[in-house]
Amino acid sequence: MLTLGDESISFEASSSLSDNFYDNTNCKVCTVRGNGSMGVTFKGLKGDSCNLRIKDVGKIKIAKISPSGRVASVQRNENAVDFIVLESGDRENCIEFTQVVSSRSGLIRQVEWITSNQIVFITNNGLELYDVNEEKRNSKLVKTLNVASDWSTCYHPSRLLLLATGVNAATMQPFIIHHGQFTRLKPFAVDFGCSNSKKKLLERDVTVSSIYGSIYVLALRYSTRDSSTSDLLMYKLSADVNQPAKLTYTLVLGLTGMFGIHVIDNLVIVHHQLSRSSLIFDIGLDLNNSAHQPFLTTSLVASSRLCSIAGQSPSLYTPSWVMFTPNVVIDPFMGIFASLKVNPEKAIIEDTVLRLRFLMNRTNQKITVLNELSTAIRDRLKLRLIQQVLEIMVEKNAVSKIPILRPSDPTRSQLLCEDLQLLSIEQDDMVHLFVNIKEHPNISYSHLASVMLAYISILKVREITVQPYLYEVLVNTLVLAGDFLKLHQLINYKVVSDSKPMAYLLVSLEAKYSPLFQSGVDMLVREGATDEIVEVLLAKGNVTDALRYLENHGSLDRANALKALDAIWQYGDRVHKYGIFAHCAEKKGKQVWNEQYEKFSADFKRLYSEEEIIDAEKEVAFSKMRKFISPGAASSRSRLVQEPPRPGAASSRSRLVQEPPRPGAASSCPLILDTNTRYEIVKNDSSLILFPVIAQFRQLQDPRLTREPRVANVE
Amino acid sequence: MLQSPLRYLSSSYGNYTAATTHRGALCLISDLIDYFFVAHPLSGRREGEEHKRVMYFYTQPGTPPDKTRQTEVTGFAEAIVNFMNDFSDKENQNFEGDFPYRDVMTDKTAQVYVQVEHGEFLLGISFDKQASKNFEYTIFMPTLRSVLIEAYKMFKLFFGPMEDFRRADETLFQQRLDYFFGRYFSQLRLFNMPLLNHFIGVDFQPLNGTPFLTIETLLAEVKEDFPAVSKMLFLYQDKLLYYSVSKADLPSLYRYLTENLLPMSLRAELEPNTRVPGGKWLTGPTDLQNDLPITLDCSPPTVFLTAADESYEEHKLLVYRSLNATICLFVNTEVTRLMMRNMDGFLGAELPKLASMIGESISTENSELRVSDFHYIYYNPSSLSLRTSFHQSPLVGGITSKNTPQLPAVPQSVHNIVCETYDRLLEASEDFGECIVKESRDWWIVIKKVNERILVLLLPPTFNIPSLQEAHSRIENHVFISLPKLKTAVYFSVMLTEYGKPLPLPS
Repeated sequence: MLTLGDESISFEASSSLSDNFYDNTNCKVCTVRGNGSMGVTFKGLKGDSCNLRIKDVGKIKIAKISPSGRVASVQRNENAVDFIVLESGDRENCIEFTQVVSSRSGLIRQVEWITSNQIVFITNNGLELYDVNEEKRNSKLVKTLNVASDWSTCYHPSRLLLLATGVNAATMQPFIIHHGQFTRLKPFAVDFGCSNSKKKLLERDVTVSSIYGSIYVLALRYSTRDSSTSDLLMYKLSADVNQPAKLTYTLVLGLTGMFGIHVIDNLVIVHHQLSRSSLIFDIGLDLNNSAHQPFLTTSLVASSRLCSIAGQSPSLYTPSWVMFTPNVVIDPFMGIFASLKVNPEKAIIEDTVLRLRFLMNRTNQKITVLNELSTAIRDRLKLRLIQQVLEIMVEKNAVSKIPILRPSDPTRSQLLCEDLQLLSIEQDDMVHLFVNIKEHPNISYSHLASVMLAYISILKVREITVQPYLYEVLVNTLVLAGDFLKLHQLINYKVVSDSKPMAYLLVSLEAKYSPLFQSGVDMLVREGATDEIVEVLLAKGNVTDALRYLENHGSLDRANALKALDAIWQYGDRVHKYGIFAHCAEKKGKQVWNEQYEKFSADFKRLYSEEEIIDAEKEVAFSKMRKFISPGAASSRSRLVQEPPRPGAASSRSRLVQEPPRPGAASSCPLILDTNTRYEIVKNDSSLILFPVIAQFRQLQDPRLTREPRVANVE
Repeated sequence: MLQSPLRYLSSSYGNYTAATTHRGALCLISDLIDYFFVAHPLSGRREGEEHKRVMYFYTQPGTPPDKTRQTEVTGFAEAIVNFMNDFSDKENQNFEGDFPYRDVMTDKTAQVYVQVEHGEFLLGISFDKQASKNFEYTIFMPTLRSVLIEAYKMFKLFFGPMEDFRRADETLFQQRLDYFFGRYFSQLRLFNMPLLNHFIGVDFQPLNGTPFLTIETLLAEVKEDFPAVSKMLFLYQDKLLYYSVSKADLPSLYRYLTENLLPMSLRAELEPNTRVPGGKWLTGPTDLQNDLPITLDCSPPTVFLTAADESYEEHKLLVYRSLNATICLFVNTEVTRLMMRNMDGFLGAELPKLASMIGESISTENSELRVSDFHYIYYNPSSLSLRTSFHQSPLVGGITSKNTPQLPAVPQSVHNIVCETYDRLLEASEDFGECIVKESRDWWIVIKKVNERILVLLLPPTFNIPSLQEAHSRIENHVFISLPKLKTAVYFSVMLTEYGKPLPLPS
């Protein structure tokens, strides 16, 4: 999984004629021939190079280019830095100017470009910050600070300068250089396993890097007792400048010898020269654990490009290698400058969950993660494990949504670190994944449904709105699994959110599991979808119920009425046709509708003959009386009192609906049983019989009906 | 062959016999019935051996067994069934659920006969009218049928189909019938409101979707880790939260659990120093530390569950309880102590967490029903949800008056009218309907049927409704404000009527 030299170049190897320097600001190798008189070349990994020629006025100790690439700085004297303005075109006779250190006894140890026009000199007794003006070809002292140090290291992305102070050079003094100011952070001591054989902390043992959104100082610690165990200590720099860095993680190496450290994609990679192996640490796998073992040990592989530069099988892990963070390997004797690349998808990790978690921590691995997850689900990875993975995934997605807070006050010094690119797998991606798995042959639908439920559960616990299409896939999967019982319960417990499409889906599943019809209609009601409910009821042939619902919701209009008539003419027998039409006609009043209505009207008149209507009327009147002398409540002595049928064809005709095919229709009319168990039929109106609810409502509106009921004694 | 599950049934009712002597809520069925029988007509075909068809005959305790009467009663029942079948078309047969039945009403008794297992067996029950009157019990034929069918289903749950059992060993079959129904009918109590025994449902625990999903996820894990578990049931306190058993078995199982098994274990829990961290098994051997084979005397009960193809599968019922959560695992392989240890390890770690989470969720959701001053029954046949103000749990501590503090007792005449109205004025085959009835003592009875759901409201005279018009507005303004969930139910929409928390009233 570790490939060396996907980006690699060759340069002139160090010899008596040439010296090589590494410019950490721009990640370039600088080759100086003949102290500059034979030429100075800065070469980057991408093949971009910059050539210039300067006079030979002494041995060059440090050579760097400003971040803008317009000024080169070379140090030839112990107390001065020469700046060369790099103009396009003529680089043979460049203009030079010199800046001498301001303190008299100061000896330059290191120079670091902070910005394109600011450079800091680190001298044996302090820091000196200069403005470099390439136009005016001069430089100006901005700030000095007295602090003695052994060595320094600079982390450019954060403009962080780390000075090694103290007797053992083990007290780190970090500075942030910002807006021409040195901000002193709290110093902290680094444990490097001080012993007689190793009295001082060395620069090469210390690395500064940004890992998972925090700046860490990584220091190698050699065991004090025996040299067999070494570890890498990670000191986390607090974003708050007043807090000292804290030892946060210990990476256990368990090896001895020479180490090289790279930090790539939040992975700490420790190369071990003797065993020719690389240990990979990912603190993100367990941020709460302070001691980490390498979760993977592997070896570098030379890329084809490196092979073409350095011969068929270039020797790897040679003692001459020099490594720089984040991912640079330089072999000055071979003249090879190469970068290391991590291919997370090629990592061989047996444990599926660990592998997925590892991949989820890497940048740009979304497709790999989704593919692996899909395979894991298809292979029926245990639910609990899938749940762990999904939980991390949702968490990452949630965190990636939080905007990174930039300091509101740009003048204040802040410890900035590289932006962390978190894996962001949205619900869309997951739905896509689930759908793909669903269409795969030979998969367990119930397992897939459980996985979806686990995912929905995680989203709900975090109060993330679940997308409706996720529910749709869930319902479809449960249907495929044949687990209607579970589906019904999930809907009843409101796990599945309401929506009209979902309601339709449920209604359409009625044929497979009838209670879902009720659930679907309920959902429509909750959605306030009156028209849709009527549509569903009519489609089922429940014309009466549809009209009832419409009446209850006060929206029986022409279109609806015609729809109802259409439906009853399609499904109903003549009794129903008669009843529904009579009701609609009554509702209609004197309004003129259209021809369609007239057609129904003509049909209606042919439904029953005059004789039939009169017979039915009589029958109804008697059956009604009989019905209410029920054996339970009514005693034989009870007097049955009934309102006489009102004159008018409409009311008597409507009673036809009490014909035998619908014996119960009449029975739902409201009754009032009074104190003497005497029955009074308060309302005996036509539509009351077919539409009891509607009739009652109308009754409330009709002032005539609030008076004492007229009674006729039939005793 | 079959060990008895009845040691779980034994004497669990002792506690509240006294409580239920209070009239008006529950009646002992043994006080009301004249007889109950199980007959196998084919066994009595031969002349002179008619009595052989009597598989079981229950009479009032203290009555000496009278073979002649048993033969007569069962013969009469058989004759009635055959006679009526001969004189009616196949289509016109009466069915209660899947079971053909016949009602017979005499001056002194109300009898119901139900044929089960394709007519192989005839079950009959006879209620004494005078006794019912004495106990103010309203005889409502549909309820009698339900009671009879439920008794059969309960037997079948533990012993499987009768015919299979009878063929295997008739003597043992008769012994088991005797043992089972002897206890069943001596302990069974009926509600004075007959509809409550007619509607066969369960009480669901309302819960939010998120905690419900957590339960669902845990159960999915149980099923994955223990493939022997084929079906499950989850209860919180004595309310149902999740089930994967067939709906056909659910009410019987729920009754067995809430009326027998859990009250027994509850009593043990109340004793000091018996609390264990994690959870414990309520069925099966108590000593799990060895690997001895599980003997019959400590084996978990066997239950026969309906399979997808309507056949029956034998399962072992393992019940695990922690805090207020009860999980029932139906295992279709042999149960070993090792299996139970492993399950204990898993559930002991997970169930207490889940139980306290549900507890928190329920307490934050607040009690869904405000104190109401009227009675209600709500039943949804499609989900089997049954709720009522008449009782909370009939068998955990008798009658609770938590929700009905000052409610006047419902007079028997009201019970009567409710049943009559339900039976005669609402169409069984229709999903919608409404009826409002005023009773002679000023009780108002409202029955609504909306999209299959049934809501029965009993408004006491204290409600003071002068007219039908007033009734409507009062129901609108008072009843549904007290029962916001039921309002939505009635208006065709059940927001969270059965399960979830109340919603704001629709404007």
